[in-house]
Amino acid sequence: MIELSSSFIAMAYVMVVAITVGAVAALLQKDLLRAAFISGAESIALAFFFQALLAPDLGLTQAIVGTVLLPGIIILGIFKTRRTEED
Amino acid sequence: MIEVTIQLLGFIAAAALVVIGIAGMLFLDNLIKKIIAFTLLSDGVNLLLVALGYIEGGIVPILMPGMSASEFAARAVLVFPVGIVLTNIVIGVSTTAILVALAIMLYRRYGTLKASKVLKGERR
Repeated sequence: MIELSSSFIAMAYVMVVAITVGAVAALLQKDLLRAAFISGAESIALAFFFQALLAPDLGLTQAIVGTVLLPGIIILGIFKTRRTEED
Repeated sequence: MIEVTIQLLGFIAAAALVVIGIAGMLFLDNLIKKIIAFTLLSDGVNLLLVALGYIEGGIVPILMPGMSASEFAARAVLVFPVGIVLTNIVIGVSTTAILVALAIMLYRRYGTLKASKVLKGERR
């Protein structure tokens, strides 16, 4: 039995900041491709947070799904439509 | 002064994600941006559920050899929210795929991704 929660709380502090900043930054981009990539970065921070909350299976699933699959689907949609946000 | 735990940090991050997601879905005009905001909202709900099941000083719910069942039940993190969220992540992917497909069809019909122009209904 290893006590991990004391070392995980430092990681949790960093990941709260990363999740919030990443979510705001993803929605503020004019370039939709960049927004998709930044949402993937936010998703990997969320995967680390799941790891800190002692749910490693969720961390693995979120890392794969949120970083590859979701931005991939969104990028597919961007290439079928248009890349920049019109004004 | 409230003691800061990982659970509290999880609640804070989940609240921030839900607020950002709802604000993005309401106030952004681009359909792809709305879809990204929807995924952020879904992430927030997942994080809230997992943080609810966290136990301070707990262990990962894997039964190691040499551990009695009562000790495992007393210390392990709750497994039920993890099961729900694992399903919800996969459902979120398919929902996002359907939303992107609908956005592509709207773009083909109206020639724009702006929700305000789509709602006016001018065919291109």
